[in-house]
Amino acid sequence: MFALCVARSTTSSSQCGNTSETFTGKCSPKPTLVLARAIAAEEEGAAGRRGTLCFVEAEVFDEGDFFAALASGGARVLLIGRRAMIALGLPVLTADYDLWVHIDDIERLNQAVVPLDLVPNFPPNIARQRGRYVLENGEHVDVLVARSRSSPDGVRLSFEDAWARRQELSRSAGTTLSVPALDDLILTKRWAMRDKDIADIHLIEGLKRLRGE
Amino acid sequence: MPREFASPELGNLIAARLAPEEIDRRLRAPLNEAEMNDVADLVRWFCRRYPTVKDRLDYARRKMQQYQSEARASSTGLPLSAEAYEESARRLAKAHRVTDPGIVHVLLDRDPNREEIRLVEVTRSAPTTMDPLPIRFFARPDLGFSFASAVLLLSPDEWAAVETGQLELPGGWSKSRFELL
Repeated sequence: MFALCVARSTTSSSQCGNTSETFTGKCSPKPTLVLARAIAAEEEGAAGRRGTLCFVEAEVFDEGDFFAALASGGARVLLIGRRAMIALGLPVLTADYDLWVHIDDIERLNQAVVPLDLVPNFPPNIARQRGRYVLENGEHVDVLVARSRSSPDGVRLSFEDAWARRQELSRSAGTTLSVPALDDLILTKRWAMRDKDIADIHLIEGLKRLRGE
Repeated sequence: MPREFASPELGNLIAARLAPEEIDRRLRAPLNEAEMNDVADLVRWFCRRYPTVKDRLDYARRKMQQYQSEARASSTGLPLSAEAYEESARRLAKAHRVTDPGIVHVLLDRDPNREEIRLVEVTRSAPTTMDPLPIRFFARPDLGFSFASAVLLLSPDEWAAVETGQLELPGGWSKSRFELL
């Protein structure tokens, strides 16, 4: 679908819009919907030939081990961002992992991911001052460290409240992911307020309504 | 497509913060009924096709690795895999069929160097000029499409003339390589 939109863009501005809006957000207020729909259509058609799609490179990082480490490490940590949206059933893509860890649990989190060779870019005391740090080793895990955070329009969300309202999703036997309640996930999306965050908020609102919340 | 694989210009747009008034405007415009139904359809499809949390996360990871692999190969100038070429050709053909119901056949003129996807589309939408010219497009790895492409539109009459040898194909195109997609 991407190719179609690109290919036709030189001759049809209306079709071009479906692609460019995904990136600029100037043509539609709901760009992620367009992208997600394209992915869905593409995947549906590919159902019978999955084998030809895979040219995935082998790599050391095992996502199952990562989530198992988070679940068993004893740190209060929420999976936020698009990875949480995917787990909840929204077809979006992301390259990173976004976590929100309790400010007292940085050491536990860091310790839990040592076996995965994920290394923090700042020691815990500096991470607390900065409010965020990164765990990395090929993978990129953004870790937010804050007792609470407010959106640009002043709506505040504390970790304690988000943790108390969290949803627990079973990924596999013995591995549970903690993600924010949908309303809290929307609030986390209001922190950065980029174009894609608005689109994500609309998707989460759609999921809320589908669930009758 | 995440900003990491977009061009710097697009990446900046993706990462740019919106002005407060723009945020208000966007958030005050909730999804309408049709868009809400779209979201519902997407979620139902995604959860039906990938029923568990693990399935969904695995899918997202696999898809991202596909983009990364294509983007990396494209940026290094290394030839992309035969599987990627095949898959991209089929995606393109499928997408074109969706938008042009007049298409009768789509054929691939396979590029031995896997640099360009060349499609011959026999479509009732094309006029019969007996002078077909391919339309070429750049690769767009930033959009997840790593191959340059060219499309040669032929009317059914032109296709019949090609088959009987009455109409020459443009230079570089070879009937002997055609594969039906």
